[in-house]
Amino acid sequence: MKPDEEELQRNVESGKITDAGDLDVKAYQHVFTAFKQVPGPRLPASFADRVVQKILQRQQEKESSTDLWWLGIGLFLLCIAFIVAFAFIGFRINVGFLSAITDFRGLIVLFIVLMGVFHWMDKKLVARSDRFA
Amino acid sequence: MIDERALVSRVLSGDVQAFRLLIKQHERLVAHMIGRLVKTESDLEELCQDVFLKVHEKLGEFSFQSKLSTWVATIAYRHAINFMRKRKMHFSDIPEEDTFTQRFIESETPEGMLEDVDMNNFVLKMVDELPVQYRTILTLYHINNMTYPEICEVMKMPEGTVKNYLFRARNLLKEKVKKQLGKEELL
Repeated sequence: MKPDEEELQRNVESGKITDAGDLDVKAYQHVFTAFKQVPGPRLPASFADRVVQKILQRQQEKESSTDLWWLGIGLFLLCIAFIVAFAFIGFRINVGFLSAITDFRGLIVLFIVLMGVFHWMDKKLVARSDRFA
Repeated sequence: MIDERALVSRVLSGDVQAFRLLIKQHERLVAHMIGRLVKTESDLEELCQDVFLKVHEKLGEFSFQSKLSTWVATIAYRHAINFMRKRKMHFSDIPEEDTFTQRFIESETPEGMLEDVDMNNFVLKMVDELPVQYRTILTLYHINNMTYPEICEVMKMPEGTVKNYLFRARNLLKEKVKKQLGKEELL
């Protein structure tokens, strides 16, 4: 740094030198004035609201992913609990009770098909009427 | 006026209004810093949003060793530099002084060719032609009214370097204005 020039900068900045006849002084005055008149930021008025909105959105996403993790852990523990319980009580799958209803096979198939149709109608018709309500 | 510690602890406890207030208090600082480094308004808003999201994410790590504004400015500066690197925008170390000074002063800009130049506008356009480090120091010192130690912390530079860069940047602007004034006198 050149000491004279440095001192000149300091003096013009602090207003100690105001000799506008000197080109260096005049130029520095223009530079310092320009900084004092910098236009305000160009951010929209709703900027803070938008950032807050993004933060809330992120928090919600984080919470729902945490909920999913807990659901997964819960299901896993439930499976473990079933396995341990079955091991303790010596549970064996017995299909004997199914043999009693083999005569009504058609009725059972019809029941399942009807349930499927009802669900399909519910999705297609009831859900659509909700949307237009 | 709510004090910094109270404001930070309210934000950390999940008070959204407190964070809105924090943004309002610092958006001018961040917008001026980023605005000197990126040109388009969409980039400016996107980057400023990212800075405040980062501030919200990292606020728990703020240890009150400095002013909150200095800490926010540090995040804004790093974020802007990373953005420029990612976009492969012109970002380099300070060029060799003599050659750069000569090139800077002699270069002609469209603003400088006009007969009736708005000098404030001309100076600010010339700031945009300076290296990133010069631009940032000028903005922090003159527009955000930061002290030398605060600028050192934001830019992770020794005080001597900050002072030197500020001196050189102002000197370059003065030379450019001088050349412009000389041209106007001739007209």
